[in-house]
Amino acid sequence: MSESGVAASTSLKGKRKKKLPPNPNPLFTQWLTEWKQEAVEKGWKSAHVYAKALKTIRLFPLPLASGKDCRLLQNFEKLFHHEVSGCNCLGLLLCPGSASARTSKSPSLPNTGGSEASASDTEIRSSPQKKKSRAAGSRGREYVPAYRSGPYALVLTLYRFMQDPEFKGYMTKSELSHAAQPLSDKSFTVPEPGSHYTAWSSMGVLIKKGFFFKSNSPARYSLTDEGYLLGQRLHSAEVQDNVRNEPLQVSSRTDSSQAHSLPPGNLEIRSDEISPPNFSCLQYKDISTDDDDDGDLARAVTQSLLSYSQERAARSSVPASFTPASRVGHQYNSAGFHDGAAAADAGSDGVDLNDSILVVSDEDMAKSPVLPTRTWARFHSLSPSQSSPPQYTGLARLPRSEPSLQDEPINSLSASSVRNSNTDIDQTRVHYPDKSLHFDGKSPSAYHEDILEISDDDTDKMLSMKMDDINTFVTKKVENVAITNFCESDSDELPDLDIPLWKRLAQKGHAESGLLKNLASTLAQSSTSQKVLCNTNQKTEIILKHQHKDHFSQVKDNLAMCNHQTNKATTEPCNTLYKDPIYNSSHFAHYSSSVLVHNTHNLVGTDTVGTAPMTVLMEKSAPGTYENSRNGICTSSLSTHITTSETTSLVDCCPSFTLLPGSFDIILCIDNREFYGSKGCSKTLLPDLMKCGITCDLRLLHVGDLLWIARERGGQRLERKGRELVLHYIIERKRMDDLVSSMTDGRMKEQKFRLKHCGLSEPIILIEEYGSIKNFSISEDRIKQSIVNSQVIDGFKVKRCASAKDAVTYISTMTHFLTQHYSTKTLHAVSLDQLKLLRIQQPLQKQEHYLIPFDVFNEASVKQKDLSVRELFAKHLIQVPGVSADRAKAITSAYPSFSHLMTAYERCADDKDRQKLLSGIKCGKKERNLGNALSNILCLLYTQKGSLL
Amino acid sequence: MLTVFVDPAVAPLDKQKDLILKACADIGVICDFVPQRVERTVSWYPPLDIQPSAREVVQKEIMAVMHAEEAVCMINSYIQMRQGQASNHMSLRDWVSSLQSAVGDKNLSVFIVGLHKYFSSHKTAAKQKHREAVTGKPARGKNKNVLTGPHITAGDAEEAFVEVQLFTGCIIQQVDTDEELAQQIKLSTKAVIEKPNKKDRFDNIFSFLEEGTSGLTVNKQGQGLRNVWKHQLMQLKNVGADMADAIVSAYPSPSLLFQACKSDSSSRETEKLLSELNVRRHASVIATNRKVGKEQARRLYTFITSTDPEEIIK
Repeated sequence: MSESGVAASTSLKGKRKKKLPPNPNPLFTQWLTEWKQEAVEKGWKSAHVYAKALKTIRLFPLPLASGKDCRLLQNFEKLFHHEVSGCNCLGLLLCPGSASARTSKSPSLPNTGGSEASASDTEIRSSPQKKKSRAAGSRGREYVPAYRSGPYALVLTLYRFMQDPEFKGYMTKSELSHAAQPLSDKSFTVPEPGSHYTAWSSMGVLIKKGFFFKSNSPARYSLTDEGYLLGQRLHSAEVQDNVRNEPLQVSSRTDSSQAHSLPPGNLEIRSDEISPPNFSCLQYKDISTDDDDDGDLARAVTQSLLSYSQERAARSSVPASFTPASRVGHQYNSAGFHDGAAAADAGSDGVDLNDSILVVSDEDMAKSPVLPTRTWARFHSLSPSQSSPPQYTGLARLPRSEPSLQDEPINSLSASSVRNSNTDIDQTRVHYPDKSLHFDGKSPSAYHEDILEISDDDTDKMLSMKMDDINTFVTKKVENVAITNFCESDSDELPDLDIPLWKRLAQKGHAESGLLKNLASTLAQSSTSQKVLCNTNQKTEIILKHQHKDHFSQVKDNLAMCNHQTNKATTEPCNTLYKDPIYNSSHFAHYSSSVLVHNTHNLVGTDTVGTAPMTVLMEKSAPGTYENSRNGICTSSLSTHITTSETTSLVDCCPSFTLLPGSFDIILCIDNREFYGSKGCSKTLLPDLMKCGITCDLRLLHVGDLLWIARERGGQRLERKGRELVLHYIIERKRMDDLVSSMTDGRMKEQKFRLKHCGLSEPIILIEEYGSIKNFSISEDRIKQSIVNSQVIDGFKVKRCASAKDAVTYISTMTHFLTQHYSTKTLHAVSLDQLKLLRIQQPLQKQEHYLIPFDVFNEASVKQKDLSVRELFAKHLIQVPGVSADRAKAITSAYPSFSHLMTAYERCADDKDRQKLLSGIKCGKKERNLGNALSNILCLLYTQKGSLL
Repeated sequence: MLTVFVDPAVAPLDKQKDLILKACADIGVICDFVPQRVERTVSWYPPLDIQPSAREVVQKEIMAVMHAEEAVCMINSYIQMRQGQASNHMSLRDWVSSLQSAVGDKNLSVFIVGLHKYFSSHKTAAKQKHREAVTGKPARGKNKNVLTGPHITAGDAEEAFVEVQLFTGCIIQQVDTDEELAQQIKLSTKAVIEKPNKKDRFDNIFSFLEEGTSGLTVNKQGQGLRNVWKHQLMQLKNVGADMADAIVSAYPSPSLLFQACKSDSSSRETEKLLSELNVRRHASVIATNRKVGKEQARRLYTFITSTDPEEIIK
């Protein structure tokens, strides 16, 4: 254009130029200007039309006679349309002379009152006024960069750098913007959506205003004197501000960090208490006399106790477990404790056994830090044989009241009854759940190795534990009330985990009664005995304490029985590893109609927390055994009960392994594509999160974008990856533009579908705003409706964030919270199906969580799974218009594969039969016929010999 | 006609009421401001002629609305509790839990109105204060930004929200203005109306999302079935439109392919033939030629011939 312009001017050189009036159409120009201004003021879109028309008319060199002539010009056509459609000015344009008519006729003009002149006067008067005031304002108001804006950060940063005596005198762009970033809310690198400007763009203004000085190439930035002064003022203001706000801010900050770093509850306080058992004892007494209502309190006590013991373990047991004696201690005597020796003799001498138990229990209280390692050592020593299931035998000391069981022959698999009795003792020892727990959780990695290997199934041991308890309880019952009382008086020695957990169980029983119909009834039945049991619900140790010598033989017999039972159980691969207390209880409820049943109610619940670690230990000591018993310890009678009870069928979740509090870290997993994906500038999530100090792991996720895992600690050191469990939360992150595009291409549906069926209970859709919602290919309303639908109709949790920064805040807050709250939980690994069966929400407050391993989860959520013939056939059928999933299901249940259907067609006598082959198939819940029309089409599709149309 | 019952506490001002009324009128539902059993809630009552199951679904939804001032107090009390101080005000989590227990098993969604405004006014105030500190002069103009009440930051709010989410399972959502609240009620109402029909849309019958290809039509004479056959073939793993076209041109109907496969069930000749089929991609210069390939042929052959419905097509 400029070239042609130049050419024109050169060609005109020396020729006469026609002098044109500078403004050939002053009146039109003026009107248009006024209208434009009006439109601008009122925010009408017509301002644009006026502006264009104005531009044209200014360019037009010739005077126009009337408004009608204007139509010749570009951009006026639109204006005319605009005017015709009910606005003010067409008539006026058509008769340009009558200016006064214009004003009077134009209703929407603001200044209708007077003549045109007066109107324009006011215009003229008003606009300079505004300008003046603005000019005065800008002159009068000195430039101070807004708090935490780009220029603020730049000036302040460079000023502060200049305070350094070794400052080189300038900063480069990258240095400066990097250093200034913390002081600014706006990013120096990533522009806001829909804009090209970053916080760095303000550098131009600062240079123009003379605060900054730019020199050299590559550019060096330094402050001018003026800029230095400004920096000084900003700095002092900042300091003042800090002084004013400091106490508050700092306190809140430290508090929050504390909140994140510390496990919840009164752990800290408790850890300093010397005798928490006493405290909990009081609680215990209260609870045992009260009703279920105290469950919460009781649980709180348990938790506090648990955390207490953990804490204690962290402090004390770790060094102990390092001692070589305890590690090597495969001999009973190596530990050199009395009880160890006694245990060795236990088989031959009942008195010793009981004595040793007494000693042990004493030591438990006195030397709790040492205990775990010792127990550990003894387990090594006690069960060197691979095949012996004695570890569980303790559990099965059967009560006298069941002589029939006693009569059963001792199983050959059981190692030796002597040994059994020994382990029995051990078990009772280990029964201090808190100690073994902390031992396990906090012990150094040397022990981890073992634990890792062995902790493949716990439930059976749990079960055994329970049986153990049952036995003790029964025996106790057999004893007398005096003992019970004694126990109560002795209860300060108890860890007291039992009661609260039992309470919890009972609570659960009520809350999840839908699940536990059977249990509910048994609970009702046993309610009377429960009261008694509340009192008698004591630790095995104590019971043993009060057992007489002559009990020992009895115990021995029972042990044998128990072995027998165990073996029996192993022979049948019934899936009855009960992890869930509820199930255990219900299971036991069916166990028999004897007193046992009622006892179990109390016991089962108690063990979940406590026994897991113990069982881990046991597994270590007898790897072979647990292999045997992994299919469940249950007698045949039990299993029959199981099959009949619906509750058990629901929850046979045998965890394949268990992670104990303290043995895992919570890690945020981010999908690869969130970082490596195509849109380069939007992949700031990971770096931003890492800046927040979040432990992230980048890996391929088949569903969702973010999720949290619990990873076993010390994994890398042990030449094998730490096992990982997926927490319940999964986030699908959707930036608004992403959301829109996935809505249009149908990915959203698919993603929602997969998110819903991935097995995790808390799918969250994180929606991140990006630019204006009005500027997408789908209308604002539709987008919003779709978001609301995801929440209301599809039941997703929808979290909306205003920006990527907010999303980072949200995710990091979530991570902190999850880390904090899960650190005290026991996590059990279950399979995907079991998790789906569990369905019941697993609220955060629960101590036990059932989770699926990460690899299982990721494998199950692969997008394209290999389909079976039937599924593929159904998929084929769905492609036929009119065939819904319901119908396809119905057809495939009649003809499960393509060849089945084809053969059926071949068998048909004639065309009519073929056409009607499918019409009678009942579809859906309402059992409607497939119908002739559809049957016809399918017949056409599948039987046509020639080419299809 | 569906009725939206709004607790008066949701919209204490007439202006807010008007906005909500207008939003409801837009979508043709009745809006009624009646004190609700649970304060600050919005619930929906379906028309009488609706099916009982649908009625249940509609009545299961409930929405709670809180305005920023109270929310700030609640968040503040959360902060205080976090710092170990006692707070006489209930925290956000307490409130949501109490709501949940009050509404029973209903699906609760919680909205806070105007928190954004609260934060931005605090930000403006901070900027003003900063300016005063730098210039040493009081800011001109009316000092309307006299902020009262507790001061919380956006981070505090987020923390409180996450706490609520983790412990109650309820994500707190925000709307900035009264207009947006009215719009939110409108959107929720629309979703609630749709819910009985759509709620099962992701409850699958098969392990895949069962959706036919949209846009396929077949008339009574069977016109369009060729396309259906092509799309059926495309359901196989790694079979695209080009490959499906190639197969369709060789075996223009399922029965032809079936016959071919059946006739040579011993030699699997058809499988070989299938794998040798040429697949043309693109046209003219960039056209490429490749074969269907063994893998695809094997899958297709398995699908056509297998009589074991549970056989996995790998």
